Amino acid sequence: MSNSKKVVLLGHFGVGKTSLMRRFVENAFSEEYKVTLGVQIQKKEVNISERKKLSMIIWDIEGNTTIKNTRLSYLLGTSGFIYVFDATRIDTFNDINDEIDYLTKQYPKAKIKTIANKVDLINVQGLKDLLNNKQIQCDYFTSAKTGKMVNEMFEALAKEIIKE
Amino acid sequence: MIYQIKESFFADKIQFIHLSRSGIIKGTDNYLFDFKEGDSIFDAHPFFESIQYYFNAEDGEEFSIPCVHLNIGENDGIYDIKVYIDKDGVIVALFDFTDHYNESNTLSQEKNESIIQAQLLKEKEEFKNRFLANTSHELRTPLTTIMGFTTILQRSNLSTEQLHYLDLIKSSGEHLRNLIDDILDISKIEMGRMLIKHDRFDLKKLCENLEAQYSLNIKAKEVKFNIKLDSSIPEFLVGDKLRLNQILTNLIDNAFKFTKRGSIQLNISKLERKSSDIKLQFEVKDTGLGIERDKLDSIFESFIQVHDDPSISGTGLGLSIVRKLIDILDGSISVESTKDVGTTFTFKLPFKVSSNQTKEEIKIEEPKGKSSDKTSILVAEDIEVNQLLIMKILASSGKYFVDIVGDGDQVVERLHQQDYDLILMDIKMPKMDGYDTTRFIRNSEIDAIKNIPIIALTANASPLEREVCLGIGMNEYVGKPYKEEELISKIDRLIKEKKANQ
Ligand SMILES: Nc1nc2c(ncn2[C@@H]2O[C@H](COP(=O)(O)OP(=O)(O)O)[C@@H](O)[C@H]2O)c(=O)[nH]1
Ligand SMILES: [Mg+2]
Repeated sequence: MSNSKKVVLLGHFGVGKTSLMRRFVENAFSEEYKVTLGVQIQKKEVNISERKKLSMIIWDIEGNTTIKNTRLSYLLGTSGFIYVFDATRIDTFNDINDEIDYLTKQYPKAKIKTIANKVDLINVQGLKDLLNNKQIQCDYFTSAKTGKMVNEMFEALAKEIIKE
Repeated sequence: MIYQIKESFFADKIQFIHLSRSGIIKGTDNYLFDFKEGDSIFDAHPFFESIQYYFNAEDGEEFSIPCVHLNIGENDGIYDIKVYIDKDGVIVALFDFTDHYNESNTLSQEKNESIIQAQLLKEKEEFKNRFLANTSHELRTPLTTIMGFTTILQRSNLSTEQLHYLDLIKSSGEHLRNLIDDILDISKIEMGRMLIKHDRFDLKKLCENLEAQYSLNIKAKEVKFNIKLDSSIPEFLVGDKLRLNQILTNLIDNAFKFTKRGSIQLNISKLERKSSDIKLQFEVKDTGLGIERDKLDSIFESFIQVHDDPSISGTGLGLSIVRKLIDILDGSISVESTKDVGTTFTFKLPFKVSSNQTKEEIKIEEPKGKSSDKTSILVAEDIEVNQLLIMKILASSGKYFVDIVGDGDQVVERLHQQDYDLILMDIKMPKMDGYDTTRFIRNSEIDAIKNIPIIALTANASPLEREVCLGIGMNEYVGKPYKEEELISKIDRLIKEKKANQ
């Protein structure tokens, strides 16, 4: 059996979860927004080191304003969560701290990354100031559109998962 | 029989797959997907690989994962999936709900799109307000300089003609300042940053002031201005006097703008009173142009001017501010108008009746005899024009010695070299700002330094900024563009208090 781990993309709808997965797996992007129903799954192998590889099985699930409303069967057995918010819409990260707390408590073994996506549309320094003010911790500033930091983010998560 | 019908009905919608616990396909009906016995299901689609930990569960357990997209070979659809664990291995059941889910798809698509649109719109609105608030704030600083030097210039030896030009500059400056204040107000209201006060005030006095203020306008035009105040209303009320005054002047200004002849009438009457709660009705009635019926609805919206007459100036914000202020004061407003006859704005506001209805005579003592020794003032201000401006204002009154430094650290240095009566402190300075300098002074070991009166000079003319300044130990606060009289009177008051305490 190959070494594979389940990773779940979380966050409100329209923040770019599907786009991040597409950028990472297919290196493609579309401007058109198509709502995700349920879950779509894609797999990509990541080189951890010369000899080590990890298959990330990515679950791109439908957007939800809160994790508490997300189907439990989508979340079980997850090694890494990627919580994505939309850098252009405050509503998608207003209560992110509660969401992350909840995740940490419910899935203590899973690795969690928070991601600000669509940074091609904003002034990143301004966003950083705002996040600082709100005491929101953010791990990566990505753009699915330009590809900025997308591979880096997934690969870093893969390395963290493998470390266990 | 029934079984056969059922079978044919559901056959192409459901597939059962029998697996070993290690994922090897032992049997399948292939109604949906073509799987081969002996193959590993994990190779069919990564979905199965990611649920393999279910396969080690106890006999009799079952799991269900709804709404999963599976694209295997030619086949692409949305399935509900059930997993049963059994002593013989694992049964996976796939239920094809593609059509069902695709129908609900359209609905979610529309719903999500409209929510995203609304959020982006809100974001833009907030950005606009922040931008307006910041810009209007920045505009105040250069205007301070213009207005200040105009006042100084008026004092110098000028011809009548020159003085007349200066008057024009000054009134245009005032006008500009009002427009900037309007913009600042509206953006503050829309960001929910407007603070409401509950102070005791004299309603009769407020009316008298309005009358005096508009008597000038009356002369200029053929318009009479009249106030009728219901005598059963108690004179002293508790409420936000400043905002009430702002609402009234906005409405009266507006009335004057659109009235060429006739009259403008302000009627104030009592609607109801329950113990100390009182509700008043204010009516501003003019005999002006009037507003067409179809435009009445939009009249309170920001940036909409009903009359697109270029000779009538303004931001178009006045009425929208009025309406928003009345909203936050828990009142209501309505308007009635007939073209070419006139317009009546009617608004209702709640107040409290003050328990104290006696006039307190506030005696302002004149400073006892002009003391021969002048007051010495240290000014901390980094921008040269502002330095010059303050210097002139203070110097022209002849009462002060003035020293100027350009940064907070120099203030500290000077205070240790020389005695001052008072400090005028700019907030934004390059090395050590006004806040830090004040904190330093208030923590000094030397009493004469520690207790020196400090007046903040700031472009941030907001109640919040004021609280911050006073909170860290400044004694007074003057917002730019400051009025000469205001600055002088605050200086004098503090000096008087200081002397009284000695
Ligand atoms: N400019 C920009 N648009 C993006 C980016 N990521 C996603 N989008 C757009 O945002 C919309 C929603 O993206 P999607 O991936 O469907 O979001 P999801 O609902 O979280 O899966 C689509 O119109 C995408 O084209 C990005 O990094 N930059
Ligand atoms: Mg999606």
